[in-house]
Amino acid sequence: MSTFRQFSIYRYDPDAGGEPRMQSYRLEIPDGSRELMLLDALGMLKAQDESLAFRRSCREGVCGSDGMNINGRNGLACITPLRSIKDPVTLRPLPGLPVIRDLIVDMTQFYNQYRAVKPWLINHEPEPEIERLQTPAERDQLDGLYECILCGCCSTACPSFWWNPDRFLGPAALLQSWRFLADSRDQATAERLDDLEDPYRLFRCHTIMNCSDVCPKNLNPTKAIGKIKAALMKRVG
Amino acid sequence: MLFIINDNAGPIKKAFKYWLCVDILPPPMNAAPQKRPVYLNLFQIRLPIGGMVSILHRVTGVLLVLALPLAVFLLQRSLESAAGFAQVSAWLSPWPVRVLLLLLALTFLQHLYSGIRHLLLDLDIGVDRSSSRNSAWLTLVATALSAVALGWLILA
Amino acid sequence: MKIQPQYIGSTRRGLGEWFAQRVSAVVAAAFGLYFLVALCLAPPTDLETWRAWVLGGGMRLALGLFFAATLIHAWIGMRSVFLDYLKPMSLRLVVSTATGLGLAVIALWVAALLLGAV
Repeated sequence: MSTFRQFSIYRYDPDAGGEPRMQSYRLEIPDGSRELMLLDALGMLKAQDESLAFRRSCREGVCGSDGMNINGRNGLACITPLRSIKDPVTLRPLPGLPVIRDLIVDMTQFYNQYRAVKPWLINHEPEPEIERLQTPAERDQLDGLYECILCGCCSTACPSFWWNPDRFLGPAALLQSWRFLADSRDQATAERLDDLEDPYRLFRCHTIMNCSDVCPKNLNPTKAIGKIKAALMKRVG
Repeated sequence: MLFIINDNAGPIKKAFKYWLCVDILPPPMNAAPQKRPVYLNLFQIRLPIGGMVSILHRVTGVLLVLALPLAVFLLQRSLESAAGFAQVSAWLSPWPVRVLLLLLALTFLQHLYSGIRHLLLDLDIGVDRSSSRNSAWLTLVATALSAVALGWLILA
Repeated sequence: MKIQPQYIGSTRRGLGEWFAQRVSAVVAAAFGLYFLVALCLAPPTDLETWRAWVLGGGMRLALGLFFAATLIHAWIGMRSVFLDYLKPMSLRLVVSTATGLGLAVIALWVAALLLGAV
């Protein structure tokens, strides 16, 4: 005995040309299989149809490669139990980004916005011999920020990012912006804040909170963005 | 491009810059390359309840702006003279008009409730997944309750 | 070493508009709610009481503040909508200008109403 699951998957092949289409698949799952994740099922489907394309690497929610739109909601295939999603399992690429093939999107715009926040420590003092020290309390400020794996689930769930992916930084980049603003070792606070204060980069965020709702790592970009706005307000007085 | 305006522009160009928000046009590095399909079907993407309420906030806001001239017109007419007052009263008394008035009031109240929710979020109150979902639902419940209360007052 | 923001343009605008949007919201919400509840609970029956209520000193000031806040809120809000959805600059120019003119006309109209009807 075994059970069957139905899939409906977004297919697009740039070489074949034509419009993207949805393709149905049926997957047999033998009884007594271990608990399957969606990524496992995708692997089994790829054995059926090797033209099916998707990204994956670590298969445990750390690399951030397999973000996709699962039954209308962004998530990581590798940490989404197959049992938790209803039939037909409808898989589409992350919304709003150009599709390269099937479930693979071009993340260039996403990475450009990430790069724009200068996601590295800026410190003008000479490097100490061992490391730049922080108190445990200062280190605690980075919790909930450094864990981001840049999977893109949040930014591609954000309507503001859909409409202005070229000018609005998006939740993922803004979370990283706050990660460095909040770092006691970083000395570029004023410049970083200057850089954020225009009508688009930060302020296209309308606190819709789709980002916090979908983050597969349970991070909260909206909260980080709120802290950036508070820091801007505080600076004015 | 026509509308890229540099920083040492004159006052007229500066005014354009304000008006169009084109001052921070990034270089074309971030323009989408090639012709590729984009999946962005709002009927297939499942928006979280907070996203829905946010859209509702926007839609009600635009509707309220459109209703603004009408409200000022009615206010002016009703204050003008006894005849004007009687005319406005007559306009507003048939029940279909009362239903429209009720809908307008509810549009305002939904915008108000979701606006209060947004203000609280701005004050870092309720900014986590479950609270924000609950507060989004709460604005809808509040509008529904208001509909009952106002319906009784306006239509009765 | 100082980092140069690349396209600083007329920055310092995002925060001001964001804050004005919230302050005007509070003013408009407080008065709007009061006005709606008062109208529903005690609808005006004749011109005299209606005029006495709306054009009384405190109320006239409150109405003026309400409309000022509402118009500012509407302007920032509508512009935010245009910024999100209107990509062709020519369309944005036309729609922004029309909205700005429309709101300016309403502002003058309300000013005439509140200042003129002594």
